[in-house]
Amino acid sequence: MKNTLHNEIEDESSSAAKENSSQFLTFTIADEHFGMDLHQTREIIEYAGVTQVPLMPQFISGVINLRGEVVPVIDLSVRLGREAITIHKRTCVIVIELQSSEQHCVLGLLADAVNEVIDISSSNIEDAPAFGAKIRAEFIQGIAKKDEEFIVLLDAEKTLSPKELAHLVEAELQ
Amino acid sequence: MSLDAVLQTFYVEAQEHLELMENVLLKIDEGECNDELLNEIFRSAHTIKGSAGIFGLDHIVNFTHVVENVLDRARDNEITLEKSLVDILFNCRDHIQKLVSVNLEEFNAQSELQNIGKDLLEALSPWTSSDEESGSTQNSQNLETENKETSSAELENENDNCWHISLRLSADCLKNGMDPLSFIKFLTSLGEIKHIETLIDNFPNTKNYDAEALYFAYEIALQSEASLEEIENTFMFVQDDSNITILPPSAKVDDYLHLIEKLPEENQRLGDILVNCGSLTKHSLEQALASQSHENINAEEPKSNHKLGELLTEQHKVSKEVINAALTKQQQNKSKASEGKQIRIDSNRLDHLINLIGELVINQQRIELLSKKTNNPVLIEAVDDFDNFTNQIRDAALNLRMVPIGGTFQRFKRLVRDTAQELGKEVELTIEGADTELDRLMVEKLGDPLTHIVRNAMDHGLESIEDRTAVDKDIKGQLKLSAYHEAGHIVIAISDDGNGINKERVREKAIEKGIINPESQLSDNELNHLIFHPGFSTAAAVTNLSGRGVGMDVVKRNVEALQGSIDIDSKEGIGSEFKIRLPLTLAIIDGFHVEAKSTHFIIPQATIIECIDLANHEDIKGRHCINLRGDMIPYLNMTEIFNLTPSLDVSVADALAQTPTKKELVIVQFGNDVAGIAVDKLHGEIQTVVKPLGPIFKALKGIGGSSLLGNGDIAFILDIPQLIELAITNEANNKADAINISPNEK
Repeated sequence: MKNTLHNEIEDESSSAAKENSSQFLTFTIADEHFGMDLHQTREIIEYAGVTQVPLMPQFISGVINLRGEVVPVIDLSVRLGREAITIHKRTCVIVIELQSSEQHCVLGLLADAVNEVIDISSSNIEDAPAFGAKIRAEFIQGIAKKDEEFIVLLDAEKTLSPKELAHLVEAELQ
Repeated sequence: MSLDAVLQTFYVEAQEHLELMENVLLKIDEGECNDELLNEIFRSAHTIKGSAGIFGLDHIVNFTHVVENVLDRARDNEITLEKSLVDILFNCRDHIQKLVSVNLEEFNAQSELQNIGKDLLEALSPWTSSDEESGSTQNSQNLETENKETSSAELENENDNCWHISLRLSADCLKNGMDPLSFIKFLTSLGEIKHIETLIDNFPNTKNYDAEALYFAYEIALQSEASLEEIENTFMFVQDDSNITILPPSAKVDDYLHLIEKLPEENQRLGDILVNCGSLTKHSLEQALASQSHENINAEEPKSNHKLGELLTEQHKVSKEVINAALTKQQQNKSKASEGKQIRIDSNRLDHLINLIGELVINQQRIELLSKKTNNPVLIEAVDDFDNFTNQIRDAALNLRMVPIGGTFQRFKRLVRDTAQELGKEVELTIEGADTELDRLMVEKLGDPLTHIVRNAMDHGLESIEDRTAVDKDIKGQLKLSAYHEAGHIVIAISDDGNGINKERVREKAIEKGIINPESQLSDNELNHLIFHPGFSTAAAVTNLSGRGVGMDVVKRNVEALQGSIDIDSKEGIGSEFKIRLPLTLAIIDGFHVEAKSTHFIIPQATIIECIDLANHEDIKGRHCINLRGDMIPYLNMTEIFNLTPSLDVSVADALAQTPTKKELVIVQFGNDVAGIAVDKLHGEIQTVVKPLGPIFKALKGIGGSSLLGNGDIAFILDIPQLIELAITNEANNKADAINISPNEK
């Protein structure tokens, strides 16, 4: 009796752990590893130049034509408060889709390299340190560790909220 | 097709017919009344009734039937459509609409709806006829009378359009692979089977019984709008070896008599079956059979012989008329169908198609470039043709999403009429630019905000008749709905010649509601915009039309949700104008493709006056102004205003070569302003699809959207009024800066 109960609890906890694990797409910008919820990413394309939009702040790299759709491309590096990304021949664009409450929004993110899709269980995700990450804490969903390297899991809804980006553009224009 | 799908078709169709009825009623209300209109509205009511009957929606059938009768009488000039009747018919139309929106159970549960129906029928009663009873007795009376003419009008009325079909299929029918049940099922697609009798007289005794033979015979009463031809076609595959008689709804008792005689079964029994089918009344059957036997007795009399012969030809004549009537009706239906031929498609599918076509165009452009490299003239020509078609496909696909706004405007005619009546005002609605095309989604979402504005304009804007006469205005208030393209946007304007917004009252109210401070100084424009504040309403009394103070702020929110903006221009005593500016998502505009520092721009064609060579016109004293045939025209430089730098892939040498002193100037006009836009290169006219830039770029002034060029490059569509505004603010800022800096300058 005791045994079965114990087993049940274990089963439950393991299935719960499974449910709580989610898939992340990991990528690199200037030797830093980042992760983003796989559900929010749509596709990865080769960087083939962008059309610059006049008067835009630096974090907006430009717009691209994605099969007939005009998609803004964000320099994530600038957005996170770092140097602008250096374009090289392996630079790629991660296309993400945000289903925020206001409206659905498609954005491209510049990255040096896209690495892999990994499963990370929620127990392996630690809270962001209050300081030291040099990234605004609210942008970070958590920190995961893999192969002795830290992966910063970004909260795309917060980092790339269209509303906030629009405010930043407005501020730049004034 | 499942029943649900068919029902869906019924709802769509019914909606179309209701709209048609409304339009006709509006025309009649305006005094335009002719046979064609009456026929049209009658047909609509008739079709709704007919299709509702198929689905057993009796609540619709019962009500519509009465309306149809009244319309039929009007069509036959028995009654005239006077104002009071038109009003009732408007209400009847609305009631039918409500009936269509509920199913039978819901209807039975809603006593309110039933009462409205009763009241309306009561109101209609002076115009309904007593014809119906006489119609049913007509059959029996006609037996001995010589008058056998059948007018098409009578066709519609008698016997509820019941066809009588007498089926004697051959015994080999089943062996030939024909199942009689499938014919009967098909008949239900043409109409409703009111009654069916199966005759088993042919059934042999068990010894002779052949399991593969068909022994059944059928007598069917079919209520249908179908033509004789259509019903006959049902039996196309078996008519050669079967005995099938189809009697039209108008068939005389004689025809039935003839049928009874022709069929092998015993007369009296057949007669009873026909009575059961509702094709004959008991009374007329008795009379008929009696006269039949009477004629048989007096068979030697030449008169009755003659009569029998006449009966045959008569029958022939009748069926011919029936066919003609049926054919014309069918043709009318066909031409009607082609007028409003529509299919409904999920808009996602359309978006997908449009994206694919975008890819196609880009690929096509690549092929064109490759083909030019080959210098093969035959290939180049073939690719040119291909190019032509690709562009046509693109245009056609893009047009699929666009609908003219006229349909939405049309609906306001009714609203204005009713509201005017309710308010006791006289209002004339004019519509302009009804064929301006807008994205379908937008048209749908515009309905509500427009309704609010129109109601407000009529309730608060336009004065009562007394007030208008007092200020010497025409007692008829003018309300105008218009739509037009303006600088890459679509503008929908609602204007009235009423009292305008009373700014003092707005101010008082705003202070009273605590929206503004009593001390705050507001411009007229700011005061006007206060009416969009949530909870603001100037109407002294809350009417049931507007004045609840939830209208205008909802309007503003709705318009902003469409990424549009709303403006008011109002002059006290003269009138107000509301302008809704909407972006042209996915609209196609004619533009002019220009380039500055490798960035592509598109200037809306409608704003362009001409293009000139800037080098030939000297600047007036170093200012950004030129003398164009005596007029001083200011111009702005794209490179400066957008702070353009050559893009990365252009080498420095190229960049230097590309910034020649020679520049092109595009002269644009917006409202009364004329200005020039200096660019590096002119590429020519282009028809282009507007892609919105998305919420992130909302603050970017001067660029209204983006567009894809044939080679896949992105071009920005200029918003001329915003661009000019931007130039003005920039200049003002620069001057301010100059003043600030100059004292400290090194």
